[in-house]
Amino acid sequence: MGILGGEGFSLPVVTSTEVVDVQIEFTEPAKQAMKSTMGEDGTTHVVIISAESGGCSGYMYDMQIVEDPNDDSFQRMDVGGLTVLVNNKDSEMLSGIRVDYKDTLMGGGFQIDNPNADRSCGCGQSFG
Amino acid sequence: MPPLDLHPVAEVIPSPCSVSVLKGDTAIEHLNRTLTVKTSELQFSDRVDGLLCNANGRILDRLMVCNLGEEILLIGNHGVGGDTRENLIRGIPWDEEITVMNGDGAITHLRLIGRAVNRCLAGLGIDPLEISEERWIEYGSALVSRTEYSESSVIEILVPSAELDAFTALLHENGAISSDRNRCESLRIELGILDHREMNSAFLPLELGLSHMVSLNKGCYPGQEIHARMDSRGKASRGIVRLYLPSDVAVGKHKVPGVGSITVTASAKAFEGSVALAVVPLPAIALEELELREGLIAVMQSL
Repeated sequence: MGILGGEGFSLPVVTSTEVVDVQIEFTEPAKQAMKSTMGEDGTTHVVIISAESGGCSGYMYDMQIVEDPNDDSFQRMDVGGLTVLVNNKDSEMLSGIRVDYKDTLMGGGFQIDNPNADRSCGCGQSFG
Repeated sequence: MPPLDLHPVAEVIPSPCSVSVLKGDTAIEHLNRTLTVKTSELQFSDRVDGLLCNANGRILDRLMVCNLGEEILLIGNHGVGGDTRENLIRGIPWDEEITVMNGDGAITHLRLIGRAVNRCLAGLGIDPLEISEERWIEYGSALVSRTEYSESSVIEILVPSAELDAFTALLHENGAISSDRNRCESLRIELGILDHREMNSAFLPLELGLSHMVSLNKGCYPGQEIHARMDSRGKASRGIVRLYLPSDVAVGKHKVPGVGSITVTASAKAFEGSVALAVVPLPAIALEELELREGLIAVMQSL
């Protein structure tokens, strides 16, 4: 459509984010759960913990097992022989979090306690 | 209350706005995580109006979303475009390539209001029957859509600012007029068209009657818990009304004996007095009149 064809649109907007050295605490159940989930992929794959917009409180946690992106924009941590990555842009929001794992039928799985959050959603998936 | 006095053809009402553009394969999904309405199923040229809220459920911005294919055009409230763009950028996931651009000033938002708007549109060569609330149609470089208010249908026009003078001249040639600032504001208030003076962090969507811009079944978005709780408990504690007054009323908070605090968000001269928008405690909405101060009685009407 032609409405965007004219002048007046600026270059992509950038926003500055503070980068901090990420410290994350993993409980033993969390380490065991990650090891068991990754299985033999632990040598080639990494766990990326990140934050994205959404959820009731503004941001949602996300954990993904992916092939190591070998990207300088991530900070690397060794957690019991597994590699955990956090993107620099999420470092301020995620540094200091405690990752636990609860083996329950309802509301089980990885749980994140975030001291940086002013508020969190009832389901624990979202913070702000 | 005096009847709504619409121009026999149409009036062109400028609506100050902010303009942002999102680019990227997942831009629609990113918006879907953030706005109060579902955007994930928007097709090319579709329109949806939604709110960006904070975690307390309060309004940060109102966004008219236009899916332009490779880009998503966002028309927001005047003066808050920078905050909205910042908000959108901060939440971009590490594995998604989404670009946010600032288009403030590049596009002008006009509204066309009147008794024979369709005649004016037909004069431009636009079939009025093609204009709906759910999509944008192209007219040259401009985009045209429609919003239905209880008193009248309003034509929404987005035009590149560089072409504004030529476009306005075309509208004038087809019977429309441009009105002064006070008339634009009084029309806005009489039609119940809310803007940044109402849709801001002082208010919750349900207090402004904006439940049509809040989806309670799309899943989580910032503010959703608050909106769901308000909906399930059945009411907001305040509501928005229109006031007809014999004289001017100041914008701001007023203590009304027997009612409590009301917030006048906008006012304009109209008829022999003024017309205003105000957010009042819910029990007061059932009243027909409100005595703002001794001798100043406002006739009240729900939006």
